[in-house]
Amino acid sequence: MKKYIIKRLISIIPVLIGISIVVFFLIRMIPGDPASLMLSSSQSSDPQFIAKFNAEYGLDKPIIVQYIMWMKKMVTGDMGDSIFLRDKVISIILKKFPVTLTLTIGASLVVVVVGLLIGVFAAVISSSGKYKAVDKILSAVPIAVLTIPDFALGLFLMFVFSVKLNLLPPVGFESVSGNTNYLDVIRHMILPSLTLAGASSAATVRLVRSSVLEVIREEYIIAANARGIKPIRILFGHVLRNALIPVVTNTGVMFGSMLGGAVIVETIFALPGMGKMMVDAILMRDYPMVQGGALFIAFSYVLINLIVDFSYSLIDPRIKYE
Amino acid sequence: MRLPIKIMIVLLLCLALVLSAFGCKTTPVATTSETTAVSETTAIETTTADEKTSDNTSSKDTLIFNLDVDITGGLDATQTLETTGLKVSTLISETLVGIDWETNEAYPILAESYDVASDGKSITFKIREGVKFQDGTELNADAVLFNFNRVTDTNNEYNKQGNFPYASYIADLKMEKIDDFTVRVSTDIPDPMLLWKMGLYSSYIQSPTAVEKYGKDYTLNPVGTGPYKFISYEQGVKAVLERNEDYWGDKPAIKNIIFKINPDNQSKIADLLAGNVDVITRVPADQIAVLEKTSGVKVYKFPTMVNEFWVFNCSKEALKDKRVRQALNYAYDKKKLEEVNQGRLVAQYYPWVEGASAFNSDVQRYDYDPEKAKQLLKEAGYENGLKLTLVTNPDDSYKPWYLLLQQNLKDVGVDLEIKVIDSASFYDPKVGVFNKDTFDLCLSGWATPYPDLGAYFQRWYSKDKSPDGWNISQYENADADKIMEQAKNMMDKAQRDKLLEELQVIIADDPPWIFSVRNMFVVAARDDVEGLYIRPNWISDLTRAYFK
Repeated sequence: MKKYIIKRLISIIPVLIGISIVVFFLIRMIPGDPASLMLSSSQSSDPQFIAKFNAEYGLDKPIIVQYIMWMKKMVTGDMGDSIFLRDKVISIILKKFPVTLTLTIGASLVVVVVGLLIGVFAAVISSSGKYKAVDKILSAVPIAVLTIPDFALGLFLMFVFSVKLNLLPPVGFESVSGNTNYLDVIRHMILPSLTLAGASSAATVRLVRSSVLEVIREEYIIAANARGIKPIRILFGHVLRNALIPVVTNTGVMFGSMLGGAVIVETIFALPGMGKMMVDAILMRDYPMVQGGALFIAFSYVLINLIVDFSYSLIDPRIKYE
Repeated sequence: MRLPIKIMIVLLLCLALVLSAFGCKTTPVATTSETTAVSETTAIETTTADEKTSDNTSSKDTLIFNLDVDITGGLDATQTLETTGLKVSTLISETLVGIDWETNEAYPILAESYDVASDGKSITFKIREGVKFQDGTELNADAVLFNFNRVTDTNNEYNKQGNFPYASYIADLKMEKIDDFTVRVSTDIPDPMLLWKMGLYSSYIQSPTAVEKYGKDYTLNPVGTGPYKFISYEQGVKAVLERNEDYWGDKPAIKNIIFKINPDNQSKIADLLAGNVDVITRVPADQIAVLEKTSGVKVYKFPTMVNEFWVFNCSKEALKDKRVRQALNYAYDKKKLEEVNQGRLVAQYYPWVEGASAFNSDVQRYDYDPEKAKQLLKEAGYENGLKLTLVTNPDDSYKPWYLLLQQNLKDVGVDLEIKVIDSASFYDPKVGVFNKDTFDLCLSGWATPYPDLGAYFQRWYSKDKSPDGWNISQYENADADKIMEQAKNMMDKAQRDKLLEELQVIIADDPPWIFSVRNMFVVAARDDVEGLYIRPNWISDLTRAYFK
């Protein structure tokens, strides 16, 4: 097991190097440069400014030299400074990442709880052969929810729960004034989490439903039933455990991609997360920020997938890692 | 097999219970029933009162002001990059002189008085005595000189610790200390705009002690002499300012200002309606009428000097002919744009801004007249049509503008291809509009930094053509050049104003762009906020604001 973990961790290194090369060269290949953009806000032409600026950020050097300089710094743990936000890249990321992580965990919780409960319920209804109407509704509603775009769902929830009912704050990660605490953060994160979870929950409901229905037809379930084991034990002890593997894979992939930032949800709810940070950085050609951010996201994505792989062995003891 | 339906139903009910418990946890039950039961008007008022209590704000001494863009370049006003961030940083530090946009006159701030030399080559500033920076440092001639050198001298060690995008406005000037509270700014050639330049962002004075202390992080820890002092800034979240109780001038009424950062148009309105912000800016055109009808909310429209226009590339064969440029001006129905934008902008018919000094309305005016446009195109030899390319940026609010332009031009036989590129590419020296081979028409705007037509010279002067200058129109008019050369160094105001009025006649007759719109700065605020003021340069002045 240890050997496997080390092997997997080592395999991350070439992935990160590959990503660093692609991101570094790609962001410099697209037109636009930070100095010209900066001067556009003063509408002045100032060649002296551009020369000084480029020298300061090493942008006057050949691109390969720039890459080597950056990598050298990266190895020592220095991600450099953001050009536009003027702070250290790593400290910006460390401020933004918790926001995205909270949103991701919140959304994943909603996906797993709603997906499992409604998915299993739908499967139970379907397998019973009765309640045909309920079965149809439970198959159709997730498809309908899947088609609702994030921004529409977000604005709808915001309008209902914040503006009309005044139950939850409409935007932000925490209150901008007064004392903030965990409860305050939780209240702020409910609507974004529900929005982000919307489509994924619907997909998970469908996945769980079909997965459970498939397992129910297995011979060992029929045998267990024939032996007179209580249906509730069959459901949670045998059916669900076997039906969970595809669900966990799906949740893991979803969790990983959400970590990269759910740009739309972050934008609507004004959440200062990774997604918005990356989009802003790309639009402003904030090279150090884009490079640092991309590497960090890639690293966390790979790590999450690693954790998901290990969780298989918890669900299914037959899976072993050597 | 049969599975336990009853148990599943119980579990689902439990889930519903947990979710509903979260929503109601901190909100008094009474409010819920009240808001749902009563009219929308009352709902908003109830919301405000409730939210303020639940947010623990010190009721009416904190103004929450929404910013549409995150702050870039930090909060040292000489380095802040955008008018959004400048709304914050210009409250922290100050200049020797300010610009009164209502009278178009300069007025002393940190200078007690100033004396403009009759030859226009220097200004002597008597610095206000007894003024202290928020960290206790004294404001004196050394501090002013320290700031000037920091911004203008690229060899200065503190210059290396920052980026000063506005430096070029004052880079050619010299400053000397006369005595402890007197400095003199001078230039080699007479400059009628010298005084204005000392009121620009490049001239905001920072505490030398703080600059030395924080080094390159100074812009995230600004210290000035202003009416508000910097408390904190969280990227993408908020900037917090607190009233400077030791301020040398009249103290503002509001104690704390929180600038909340939320660029989303829809959610910032929801935030205002929910009472979580007091002021939102740049209200989208389609929401103005809605908010005007909403009780509890007031909408303000401040006129600005921010013009936007479609720049011609006068180096292109067809556009060299002024008749074609005039024709396209006649073809554009800017009045329609004004109508559909519900007061967010007004049609702009002149090269300069109404109300500004030396404004001349007696110039060639292009009201919508497609027939005249067709006739002019025919005279120029383009009766069989013309194909042009427009480069614009992806901001959605411009979409109706260019779609209207495309339709209008189509009506007079001009086929307009639209190319949308992002802002960074737009200003790229190779693929952007600074390369004259990339476009026939492009979007551009100009927020004049001071209310003097001289600020526009760089857009029209033939020696300032891009890529090195801002004359992206590649505009060249010998008569205009001559006037600009004279006016640039002329100190006799009356005579200079006459020249500037003449210049407007030339520019209107030989247009470098399609005159399009002048922006209004639309603000929506809770109705207990009074005294809001946005200067015509797009920067708010919150020192006058107070709660009713």
